[in-house]
Amino acid sequence: MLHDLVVWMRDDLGRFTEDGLSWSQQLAQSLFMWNIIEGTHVLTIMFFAGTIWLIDLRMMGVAFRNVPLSKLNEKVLPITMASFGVMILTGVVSYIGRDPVMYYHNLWFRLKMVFLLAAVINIAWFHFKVQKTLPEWDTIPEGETPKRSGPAMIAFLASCVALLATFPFMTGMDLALTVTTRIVLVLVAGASLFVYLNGRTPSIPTAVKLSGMISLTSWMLIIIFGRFIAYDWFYCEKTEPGSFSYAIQECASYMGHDETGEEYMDEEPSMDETEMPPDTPPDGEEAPAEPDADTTQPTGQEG
Amino acid sequence: MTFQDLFKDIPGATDFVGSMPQIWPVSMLQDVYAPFGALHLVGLALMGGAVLLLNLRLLGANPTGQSLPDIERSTRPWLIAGLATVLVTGVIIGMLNSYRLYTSVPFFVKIMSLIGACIFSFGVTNVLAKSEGKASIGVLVAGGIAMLFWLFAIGVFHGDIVSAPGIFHPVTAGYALLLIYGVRTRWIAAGAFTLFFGGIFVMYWIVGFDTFDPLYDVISYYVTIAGTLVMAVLYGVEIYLGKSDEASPTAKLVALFSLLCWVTVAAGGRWIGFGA
Repeated sequence: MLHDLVVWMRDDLGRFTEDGLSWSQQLAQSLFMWNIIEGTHVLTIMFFAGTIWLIDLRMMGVAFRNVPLSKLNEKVLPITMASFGVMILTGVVSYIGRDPVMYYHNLWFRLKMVFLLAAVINIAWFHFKVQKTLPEWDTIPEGETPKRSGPAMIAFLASCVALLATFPFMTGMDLALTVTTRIVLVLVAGASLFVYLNGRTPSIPTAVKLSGMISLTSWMLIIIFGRFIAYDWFYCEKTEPGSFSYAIQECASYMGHDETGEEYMDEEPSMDETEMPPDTPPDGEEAPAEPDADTTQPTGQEG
Repeated sequence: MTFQDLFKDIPGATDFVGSMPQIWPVSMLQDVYAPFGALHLVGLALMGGAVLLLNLRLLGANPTGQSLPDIERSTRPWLIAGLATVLVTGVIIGMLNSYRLYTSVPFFVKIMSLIGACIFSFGVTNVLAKSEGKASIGVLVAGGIAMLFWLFAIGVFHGDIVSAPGIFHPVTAGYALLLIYGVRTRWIAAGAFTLFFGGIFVMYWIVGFDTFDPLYDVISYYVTIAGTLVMAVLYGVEIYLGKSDEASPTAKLVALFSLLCWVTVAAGGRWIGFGA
């Protein structure tokens, strides 16, 4: 059902005549408009994530320790929320304007949405439950004695070094083993860091620090997965039918096949097959670069 | 202008840059291109928060309720951590993608504005904050040098036909800052921005996004100029006639240019991907 919706977004939304183009197609072919909107989306991240992370770090007792959290929320959060509004708006328009069907069937986009949902649930948890006792831990008492948590910091540093070492030393090894090793190391690093931070500021309840950590991690992963959308590692065209990534991305419907492999969507060609005006401007100017699905490096057209 | 244009007289420079991804140890780092590209954005965002809060404080808004030296002390570790992340990841992904960057105008813009932004952050705004907003001659000279780098970067950005629309981002950021910081001019700024850039968007939409008519480029060019001039006037009113006077007008101007310079760094970086 969602697949049909995004196909409609791509092919029909904003198309008012039989021969006309949908908004998605118009934006995809625009000379600069998509770039400006997507560029704004990425730049807003700088203000949104930058300010929310400083609030998260304060919740974890790491930054702005001499500023009451309520003060930070009162003055910084409006900037964060305004940036969030612009980021979501430009994000939705960028999504519609660059083949929403490709995005919908992209593993990284799906992961990005999962962590976006996690971040929103975390906001609701913090706002409706954790924050109720704010006056009790709004300020960090001066001279607070941190608990000893040196081993946790050592574990964190060791797992970070090991994670970095996987890049030069695990190149060319089995992909599943490499990815699993890296995920395990990231989880160990995250858990060790949390244990360390939890011991450092005992006056802040664990739930508050946990909420801050979830928020910080979620937004970081949202940025990282957004960036990964540009890479073609798991594009449906390159994914083996029957594989896990093929199933999780619902590639069968993207490729125009049902679960048994039988074609059923001849009447809905992919965007590349749709007849469109030429990309090259009539005056011979060069148009902005289009995504190149065969490259291993991003083309800059990522979400 | 690109780095290739700048170093065209150095024999073998282009060949050396082109072969960089194959040279050891760069050749060992192919796998880190994707995660480091993502971490580059994470570092930029971390730095963005720190830069924004410090400069808003210098401008007269007080987002954390701290004194200038206090907020400088609080934001410094995050500014340094963000910049270190950006530089380490940036150098490595840059070496892995060397030829494209060597011939890219937005990359040149990014590096020139990055030099300006670093001078602003580490030689001007931090010193101003530590001295409660009072500018010494040394700070003014450093600020002037940073401004030259930034203006040069803006000039190159505006002069390149493919990248010129990227100027929209610093101009928009300027208006957004007026909405956050402005006291007298906030709603005038909102109206002016809507009129100028909303007008372009509506015009573009009505005519059709896929038009390549040079008329729209010309109109957009003059609208950007007009939008920038109006913004400059509004900042003039805000800085010299505004109620917030905790820092000197010079400190406020420096804070504004520092923020816009960092936005230009980010905009340049983003437009590398859009270049031909």
